[in-house]
Amino acid sequence: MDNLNKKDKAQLKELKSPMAVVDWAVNWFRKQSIFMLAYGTGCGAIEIPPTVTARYDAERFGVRGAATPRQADVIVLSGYLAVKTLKRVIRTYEQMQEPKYVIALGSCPINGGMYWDSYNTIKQLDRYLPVDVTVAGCMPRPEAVLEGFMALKDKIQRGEAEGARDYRDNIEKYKNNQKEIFGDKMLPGYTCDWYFSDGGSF
Amino acid sequence: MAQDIITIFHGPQHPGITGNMSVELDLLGETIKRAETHVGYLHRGFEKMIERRTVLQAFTIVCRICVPEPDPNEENFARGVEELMGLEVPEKAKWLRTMVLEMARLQAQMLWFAGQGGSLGHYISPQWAVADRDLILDLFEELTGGRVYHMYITPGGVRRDLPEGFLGRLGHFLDYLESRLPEYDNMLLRNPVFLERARGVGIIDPATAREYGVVGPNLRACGFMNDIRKDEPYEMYGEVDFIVPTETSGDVYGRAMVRRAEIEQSISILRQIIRRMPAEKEIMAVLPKNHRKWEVPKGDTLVKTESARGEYSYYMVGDGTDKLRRVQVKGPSAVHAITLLEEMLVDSQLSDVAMIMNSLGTNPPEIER
Amino acid sequence: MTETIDNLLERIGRNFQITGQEVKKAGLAALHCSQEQLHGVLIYLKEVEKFDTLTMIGCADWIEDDYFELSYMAYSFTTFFTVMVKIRVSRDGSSVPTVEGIWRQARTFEREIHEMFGVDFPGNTRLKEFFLENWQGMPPMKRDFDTVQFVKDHYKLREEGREGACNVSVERKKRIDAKKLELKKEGE
Repeated sequence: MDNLNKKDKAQLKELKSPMAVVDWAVNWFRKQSIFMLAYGTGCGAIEIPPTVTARYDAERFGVRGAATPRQADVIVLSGYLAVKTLKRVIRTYEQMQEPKYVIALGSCPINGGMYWDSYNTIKQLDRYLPVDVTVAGCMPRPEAVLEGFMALKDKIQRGEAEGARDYRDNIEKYKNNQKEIFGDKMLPGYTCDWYFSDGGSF
Repeated sequence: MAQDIITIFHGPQHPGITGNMSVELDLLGETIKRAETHVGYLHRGFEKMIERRTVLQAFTIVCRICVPEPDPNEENFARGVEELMGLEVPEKAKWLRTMVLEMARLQAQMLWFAGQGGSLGHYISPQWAVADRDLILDLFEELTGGRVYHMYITPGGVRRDLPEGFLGRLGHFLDYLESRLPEYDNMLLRNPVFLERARGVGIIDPATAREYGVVGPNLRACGFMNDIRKDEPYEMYGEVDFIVPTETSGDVYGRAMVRRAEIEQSISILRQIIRRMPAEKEIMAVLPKNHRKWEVPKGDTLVKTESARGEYSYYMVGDGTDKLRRVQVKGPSAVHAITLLEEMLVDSQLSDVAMIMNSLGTNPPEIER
Repeated sequence: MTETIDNLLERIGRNFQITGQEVKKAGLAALHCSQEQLHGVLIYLKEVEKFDTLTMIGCADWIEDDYFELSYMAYSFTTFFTVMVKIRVSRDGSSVPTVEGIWRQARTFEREIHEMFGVDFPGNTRLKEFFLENWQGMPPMKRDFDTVQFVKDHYKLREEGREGACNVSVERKKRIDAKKLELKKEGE
């Protein structure tokens, strides 16, 4: 109990049933160590090294890098996504283990940003992947990136960071949106088959 | 017993790759038998976007072409527009531009240092170098308002004059950085592990370097003393004293030593600039009256800048309207990271790929824009 | 006698049929020649005048006059001169034999122009998909390719996002407000 801060203790007092306490505790543990997979999809990749190294030191908030998607909790998409990249990003995301979250950095994944008239970048990442936290800016400073992680931690604690479940429940909607971009060159189904209740049909 | 060749993708999602690109490798055991680079993961179609924008609108997006070192792009674009339109830049602005370019070079070299250590699994070097690089970014933020993208060197001059006391703070930072350099040497460049792994790996021989058009530190590590700053001086590089460091080995270690020596040269250039910065206030050329509609006359030009990774060339074509007909960019990585890398990787080890790519200064956004 | 760019242009003019030439600035000259003369001029520049490297191949689309202008920029490390050798090719279905045999890095430049403008370079060994993946239709860097129309047809611009997604600036404001409230309470 000594490790809990004031806010945590206040939250804990409000919980009524034992199951709620268990859920709360699970979320509390989850938010303490976030392994991020920094996919350098664009300019924002340049602010990831300062965030994780000595000056801003993201590790004091429990955030550190992971080498492979299978060990990562959160995928950080740092900037605009070209169509070619989006395909790889979706595949990487589907390989990650749940619980998993998505943080999008920069204005470009939100609404296209300054590349709104580019023929090769997607304009809204929300349509293709369930984004949990967006950090606006071109590009966001390390402080803003850390702020994004804090927002994600709050969401995890509240039990609201459910992008992965949204993706699973609405897989057909997401896949149809992805199909609009890729046409008949969709990515292979074996990374997302288990999302379908009938054992894979895409 | 015959061994099977397996094909793996190194990237685009891989900690050991610089930026967002991938290398397809055919491996026999740990030895690479064939390599093929795949780029295009960062293609945005800058040249198309510049076609649709007026000169001043286009100027705000050119710096996004190269993330680690945006200022040579701004300078190149600005100088190209000035050449096409015949603008005369005041001397103070030229000094300020030179200063910003050297600061950008310094921070790019620090970032390279971080990557070079990190690609060997030597994680102290990113911790140190990125943190020290942040001090330059602070100075940039003070001068231009932006940490990474500055949009400072506008066509016709620079956007702002120096803040009060800026040169003193810059000098203070240079003293600090210089005192750090011996520590960097001891940590990485004289580290026996680094020497063992970097010597004799990723060799470019002089004939290949010329034939492929290798530029920048990679060329100088092969024994050629070519630097656009010396050969075709632009801005104020004709006025300052510096030497062009060279090495003859042409391997990863040679390139590291060239870059290490260039950090010292940059510090020396910046000190000269601090001493000689003019006091006058004029930082903008006489610009066309209508700010929204600069008409660029018909004509074309080629402008070059030496960035930390090599030479940037801009081919700019004006057609008499307020938009440029064509701006074509060739970054140094277009030469280094495709044909040359594919041939260098053959017969090297899988574990050296990240180190070789980093020592070539590979940076995908400038290949594909 | 010191070498000047005018002497160089004169020597080239004596050996080849040059349709136009100009000196753009110190150390940069442009030559216009026909497509048949191109390889001769480039080989001459490389072998006789020691222009060791090809800086880039520029391509500009002059849609009004219906031609592409290809500029081969050769650079000399001894005199530091750049010579742009310019040829004009028709906008549709044109082909220019590769210069890969003269300078190896031309392979990459030609590959890019092939993809972006649709110019064919017979003889280039790596003329395949480069930046774009699965691209159909007009090469994007042609002037008559309308990128805004393409964006409207292929992508959806911003619409209402997923309900659960949160914006950091909103979250931050909430956090600061909560902190302020807490401090206020403590003050009381």
